[in-house]
Amino acid sequence: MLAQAIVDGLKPHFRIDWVRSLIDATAALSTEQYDFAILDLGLPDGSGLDLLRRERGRGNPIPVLILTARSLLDDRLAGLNSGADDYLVKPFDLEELIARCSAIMRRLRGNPSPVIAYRGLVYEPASRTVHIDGNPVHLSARELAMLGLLLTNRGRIVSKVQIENELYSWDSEVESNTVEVYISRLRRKIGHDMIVTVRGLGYTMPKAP
Amino acid sequence: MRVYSLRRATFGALLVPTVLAIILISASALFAAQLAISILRDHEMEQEAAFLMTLSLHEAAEGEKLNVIKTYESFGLQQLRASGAGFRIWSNDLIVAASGALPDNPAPSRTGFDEVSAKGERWRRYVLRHGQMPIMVEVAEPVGMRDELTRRMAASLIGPMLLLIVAVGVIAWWQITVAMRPMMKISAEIDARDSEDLAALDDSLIPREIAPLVVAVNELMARLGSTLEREREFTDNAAHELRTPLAALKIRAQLAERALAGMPTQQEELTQLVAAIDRATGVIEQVILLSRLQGGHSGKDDLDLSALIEEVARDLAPFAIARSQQLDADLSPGMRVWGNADTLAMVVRNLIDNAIRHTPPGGHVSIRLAEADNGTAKFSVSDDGPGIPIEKHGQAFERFVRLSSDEPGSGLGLAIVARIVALHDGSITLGQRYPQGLHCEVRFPRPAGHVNAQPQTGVGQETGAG
Repeated sequence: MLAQAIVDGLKPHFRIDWVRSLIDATAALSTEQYDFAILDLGLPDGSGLDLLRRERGRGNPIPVLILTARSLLDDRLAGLNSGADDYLVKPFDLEELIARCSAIMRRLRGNPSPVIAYRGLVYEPASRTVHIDGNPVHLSARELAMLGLLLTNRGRIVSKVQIENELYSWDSEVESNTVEVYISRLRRKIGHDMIVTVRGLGYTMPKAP
Repeated sequence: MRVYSLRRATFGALLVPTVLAIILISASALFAAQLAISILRDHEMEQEAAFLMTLSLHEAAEGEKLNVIKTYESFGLQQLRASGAGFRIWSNDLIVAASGALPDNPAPSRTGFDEVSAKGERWRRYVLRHGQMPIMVEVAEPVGMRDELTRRMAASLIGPMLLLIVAVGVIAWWQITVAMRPMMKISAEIDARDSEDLAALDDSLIPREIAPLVVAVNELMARLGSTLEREREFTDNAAHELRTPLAALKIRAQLAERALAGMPTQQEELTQLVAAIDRATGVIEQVILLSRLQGGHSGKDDLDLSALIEEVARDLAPFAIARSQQLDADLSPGMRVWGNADTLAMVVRNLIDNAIRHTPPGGHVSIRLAEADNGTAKFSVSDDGPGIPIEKHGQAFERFVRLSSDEPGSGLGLAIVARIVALHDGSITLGQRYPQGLHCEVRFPRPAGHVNAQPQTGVGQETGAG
């Protein structure tokens, strides 16, 4: 039921084979060459994790996206430990599923950072350029790194620690107010209302206005 | 329920017959004594009369005039005869000799024993008449004298008998108490249990009489335990089975939403449908987590509550931003508690989510974590929404009670939150904020050794303007 819905949802974007059991999955994986696999952990003839471990044990590097339930935190961790590349918690957004699958495909094609557009701002990680309403904006390496972090996590709260970690790779010394300093510099260059402060939690670039 | 004390019943069963037996024995002893006294005294009166008669005949033979005879009486006898006892010797109708305070009666008409009333009391009288001569001897004493003898005997009996009753009572009470102790222990053990504890009762030392009861209770506990376990498994399975169809439903709704591109009204319907599916899934997740925590399938760990709250708060903050609310957090770092991460995350998620959902756009939601004065970890969420009227605070924790029909929700939230908090030995309180808003505070005990632990690196000490 869920699989049929996923197949219908992904059909416009990918070519899909759908199998319903561990046996069929093993057979399919050994005969066909797939770009990636979406694996539900609860299968009629066993756990998807067993299949994943077996495939990894055989040296199969195929990227795997795991579908799991929120209350199965342990399974989730076990999934990542057994070699899954990503996971989604049921029920998930179709949009999110397509985005994750696209990300896997991009990584496969060696283009991990696509152009990100956000409220008139366009960021090209490959060329490290930023445009606002078509006009180029000049940002320092650290400001670019911070913008990249916020943009790839847009809609989510990025903690101060996450930003500090990002800045450490550029600056060996991070003062206690370094993050605030860079945030205010970045705001001056791209617009004050682009970044929202959530006191005590971090910063975000909200998804919808 | 009619309650009676087994100890008191046993005590009564032992003491009442004992007291009855003592009373019966005493009564029969006194009755026998009274009879013996009566026989002895009568015999003595006969002897006295016979002696007086012999004396009178002797005097009559000597031609002397009979006169008052002095009698010798012991001090004790005098005491007994204080009411007066004595004799009269009659010749025809004349009193020739008299002694003591005998009533001034006319000459008796018949011989032998009888009882007469005189001077306001009863007298026992014995009359002896000579066969040939007109001499009659009359001996009398008050009946009260004999009663007095019986009374004295009774008085000497009462003390030891009462002492015996008290001694039997004390020993019996003590013995019964000792015998009852295992029962009291079992009763206290059952009393001290919470509803989750279905372990068998300690049956290492129990009286034979209540052994069947203990065995029956233990069997009931075992049956209840397996029933509960089956119940939980069923809940768990049912919830699991619901999860996948719901996920499919959500994808389907979103596919339909995409298919309706360009028809915003119809698309909005499907957006609402997706939101409803998300809520249903949320309830199912809560049910699963709770049933696992209650079933003991989810273990507890020493975990960083600060990090857990921060993660959940960061997860939910975008919803507050989407509602144009000001959300801020002040979390004391490195607060560790002993708990189950999944369910504690649910508590935090529920409370923050409730605050965001019930606060109008533009409102404030504050999340705090600090160490309370008594060392517990104090987590609070406050908002400036409509709040909950004080009289409904108690009701708010009841399952499926929804206090307002304006906002969507299952009503399961606070009940589950309260249950999880209780399973963590914590406490939860609701408060009113001025001028309006709800303040919800949860306290968790902290594992020994972590109270006053050194804070870790500063997380989220941001003070910049939003």
